Amino acid sequence: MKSKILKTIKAAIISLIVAFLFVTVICFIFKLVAKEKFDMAMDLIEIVTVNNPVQAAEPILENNILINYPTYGSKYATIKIDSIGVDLPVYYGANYTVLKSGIAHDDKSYFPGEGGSVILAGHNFKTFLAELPNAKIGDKIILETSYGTFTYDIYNTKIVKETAVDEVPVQKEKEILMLYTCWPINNIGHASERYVVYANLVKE
Amino acid sequence: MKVFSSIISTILSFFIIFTISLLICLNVLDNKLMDKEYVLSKMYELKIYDQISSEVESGFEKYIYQSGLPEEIIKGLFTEEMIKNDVNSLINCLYDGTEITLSDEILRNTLDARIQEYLASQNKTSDKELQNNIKKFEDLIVEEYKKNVNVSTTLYTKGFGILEKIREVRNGLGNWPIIILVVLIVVLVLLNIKDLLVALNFLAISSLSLGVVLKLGVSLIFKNIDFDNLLIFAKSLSNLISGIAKENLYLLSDNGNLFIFCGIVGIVVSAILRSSNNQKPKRRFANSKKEEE
Repeated sequence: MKSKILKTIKAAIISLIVAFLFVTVICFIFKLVAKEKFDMAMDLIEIVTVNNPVQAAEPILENNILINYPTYGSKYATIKIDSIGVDLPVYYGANYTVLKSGIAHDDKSYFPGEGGSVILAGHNFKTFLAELPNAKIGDKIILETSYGTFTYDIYNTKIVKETAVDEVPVQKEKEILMLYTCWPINNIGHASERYVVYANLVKE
Repeated sequence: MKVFSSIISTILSFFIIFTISLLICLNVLDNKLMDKEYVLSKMYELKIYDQISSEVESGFEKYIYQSGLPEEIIKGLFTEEMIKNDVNSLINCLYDGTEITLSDEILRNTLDARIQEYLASQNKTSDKELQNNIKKFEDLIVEEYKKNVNVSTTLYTKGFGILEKIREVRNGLGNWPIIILVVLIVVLVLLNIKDLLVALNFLAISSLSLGVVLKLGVSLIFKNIDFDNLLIFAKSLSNLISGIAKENLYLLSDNGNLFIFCGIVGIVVSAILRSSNNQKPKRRFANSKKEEE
């Protein structure tokens, strides 16, 4: 009886080993034949996978470089233009959800204090930037962030085509704030122009 | 001879694994991916039409806020029935190669009527520039609608071409995989006709290996693909793709469990029966010895 059980176990173990060898050989064949294509497919899938945003640490400004960028779509500053009664939140990233809630920071531009173009945009609603064309040269724009307050002086205003991206250039030679909204303000239908306000950094 | 038959049986078992794998893939292809009705049923089940409706609505919001027009202009601009018809028209194009028919003109006319009504209520005079801006706005809204119902004629024509190629390959294969599987099993049985338990053992080993391979494959895919966060063109399309993929992967995983179960049972049964068969001649030999004495 004991030898019968031992033989049964032995036979079963041998079969399991053979099955294991089969699996190993199949995996080896897969690696040999399809591994490269599988990895390529996975890389492609990785590209179309949205990573859940990780809560970013508090931004810190060190030598004109911002350490720890805010999370995309999060509020990181407040913009104030006292002369026209603007006091709005500023969000990092310029998507349409953000534009519904406040002022959007173009994620291709620099942050306040980094010494480059700071490009901000907002809708021309009454509660948003409808009064922007009433801002005069010399008026102050204040950006309050968690890492500092930045004051800018308006030095120019312009009406540009919506496609004229060179009118709001991204550069890192001088800190310039460019704030724009759709033009004309009481436009009906598609607004094909933008009202841009240019301001220099005067106080950090 | 015994060694030779064992080697051939091992090779046959190996081919049995591949043939069954091919049959499983063809089954998924025939009854799921290539079946238009299955895809449509998944669209209802996963509420894809509702998701597309929400995507279209939020897409419209991009333009309404900068248009100077009231939000009501775009509210209820399309019906769910319109979305269903348009999306189904695209699915038909993908599977049957039929022409895409869309409700974009109905959408444009409704929008235009609403805008004109609004302008009249506001006593706004409609000059050429205003008409141009309104036309641009309507174009953007219609484009947004088309974009969100995933309209790209090229995409669907290409998709139809790929499905046609898959169909050709599938039709070319016909019933050959089943015939090959039957032949392989018959040859395996014939090869071990003197001891059918050996054939059963080899089949059980194939089943167990196939089950493990299926489970490993499914785990590998789930480990590498974050199905819940896929974004292919739009969230609704991604949800449809990931919904179908997940369902079929779970199905493969269940098949894997079944094969593992059958394999283990087969191995144990054949081991028990073989060991008891091996003991019988010894007993007979012992008895005959006694008889001789």
